[in-house]
Amino acid sequence: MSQPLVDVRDLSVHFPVGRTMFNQGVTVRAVDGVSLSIGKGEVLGLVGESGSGKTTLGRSLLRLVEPTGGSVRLNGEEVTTMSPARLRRARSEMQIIFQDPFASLNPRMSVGEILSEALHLHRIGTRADRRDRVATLLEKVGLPASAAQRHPHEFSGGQRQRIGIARALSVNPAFIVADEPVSALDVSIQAQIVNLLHDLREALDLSILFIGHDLSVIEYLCDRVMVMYMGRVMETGTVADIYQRPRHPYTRALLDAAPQVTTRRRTDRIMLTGDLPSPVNPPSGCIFRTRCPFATEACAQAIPPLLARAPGHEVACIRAEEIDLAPA
Amino acid sequence: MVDLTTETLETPPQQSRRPLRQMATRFARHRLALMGLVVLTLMTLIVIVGPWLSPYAYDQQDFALIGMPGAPSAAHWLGTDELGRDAMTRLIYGGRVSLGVGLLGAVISTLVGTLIGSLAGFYRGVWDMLLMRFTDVMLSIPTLPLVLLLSTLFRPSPVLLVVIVGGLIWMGTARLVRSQFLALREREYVEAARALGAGGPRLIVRHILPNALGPITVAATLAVGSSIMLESALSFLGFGILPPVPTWGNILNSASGWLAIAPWLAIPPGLCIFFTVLAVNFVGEGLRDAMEPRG
Repeated sequence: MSQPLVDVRDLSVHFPVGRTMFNQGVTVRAVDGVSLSIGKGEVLGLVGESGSGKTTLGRSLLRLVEPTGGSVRLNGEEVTTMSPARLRRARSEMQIIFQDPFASLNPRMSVGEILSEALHLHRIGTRADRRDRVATLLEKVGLPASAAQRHPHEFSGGQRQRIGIARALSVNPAFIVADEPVSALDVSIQAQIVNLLHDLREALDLSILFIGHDLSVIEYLCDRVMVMYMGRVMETGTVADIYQRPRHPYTRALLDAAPQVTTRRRTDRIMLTGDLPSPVNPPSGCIFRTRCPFATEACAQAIPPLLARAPGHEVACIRAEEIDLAPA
Repeated sequence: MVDLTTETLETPPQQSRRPLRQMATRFARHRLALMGLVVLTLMTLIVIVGPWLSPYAYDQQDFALIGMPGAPSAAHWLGTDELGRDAMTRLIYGGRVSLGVGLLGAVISTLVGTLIGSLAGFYRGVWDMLLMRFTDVMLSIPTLPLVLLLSTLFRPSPVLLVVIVGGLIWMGTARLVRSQFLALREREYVEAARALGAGGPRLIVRHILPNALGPITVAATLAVGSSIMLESALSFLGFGILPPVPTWGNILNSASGWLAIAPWLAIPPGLCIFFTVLAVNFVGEGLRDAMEPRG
């Protein structure tokens, strides 16, 4: 892979909070200096607790949230500085699938209208063309063509999520941000949607940023995984790196927190205690140190850089070499 | 292509009840609202067909009865006024004007309020600040002195009156629509449309406005009430529709001088205003409850 499809450098999204005429307010660093790249047809998993900035990161790639710093390149072209007109055209290259299938479909529009929205916007095709296109899209996601005349409230959560996926596909994007697309669904239906995404990715050679917190889904679907904590990247590597050889205590804690069906129960699990620190007043140095069982005084001194500990396996922990996180 | 043969629908599309139907059911359960609707429908019907059924014209004088108000009789059910005109015919005609001005005033108020509210709520920032401060200014202007001023500048005509009435009551709608837009613009389906490349006007008209129609309808209904009240007040004070064209307001005005000896002239238009406004407000309330069942 010569040039990644999506190349993100030092991306930051900072929100001002409590700013008034008389008060400077404070800044919440929802995403702080994140770099990542996704190759053609690659699926990158993004995991982290609620509030770790996963969703904000995903949306800022599409400029649904404006990044406050850094660069996003799509096919080598800078997205963050695109003019509104250029951005509108570029939007057919990148799409998003939302978490809540009940909030993401306009209740006043029929499924056909929802799916042909993009065609209207970009003035593609005649009425008949659009109808055909809608039918093709519905078929792609496993829904009957007759669904086009119906309204969202007539469908179940899983069906709605299929419609949401069809909408994302309606512009033939090369890159899709899937923002926890199965978290709101019943477990039995999650598998169907995950399989659908898996098949579509193979068939359409899609690049996907898959945001989630279900580690087993990520393991199944993704090529590489990135672990985020409070807006910063803690560790990134291949699925095997992360799941078999985690090098960051936080990654290990996440893995240990996932329920597992096993007869052997590990006795050295890392269990996180306490809540996330306040995002308006984050800890100095390593942002994870307040909850890290291995934290030392050195951890408070400087923000640990994300360093490659093995080819393609980067860890942001100054003690990554010395502490022993035995293979899970 | 993708093998989806095993991917069947988890359940057949649900045949759930249409939301509109549910709303109608809930509305019908609201007794007062239903009564209000009946009253308004009757009023509208009477006002539309009444003048054709009445044997008199609204400005037709019975010269034998000029000078003093005439008491109700078989020929004149609600009596005659001091100029010998049939009070009931004038009441029905007056209803035409009052209801018409009320309705059109509410339409204008709703259009203006929706336009200003949606721009402020959608674009936020400077636009929001300017538009909402303008709204606050309009709210803080005392209505009657302003109308006094306007009526000395312009000769009141029905069209002008409608514009004035509409222009004085849109502020509540603007605030309501703004708050709806502030909430709805963050919805994921709006974000999805934005991600597909939709721009501001399309997001406003196609994605947000249709979902704000419920509260806007309620506001519009309530605006009919305020509009009728305002029109009556203006006509009563002589700044609205001028005689001989009757409205409930100016009938009340001319009848007020005879209140002691001919109360049958003042009471019917008063009751008409009272019941119409009450009915409109009940309908508005019923609509609101039907749309937001938890309220």
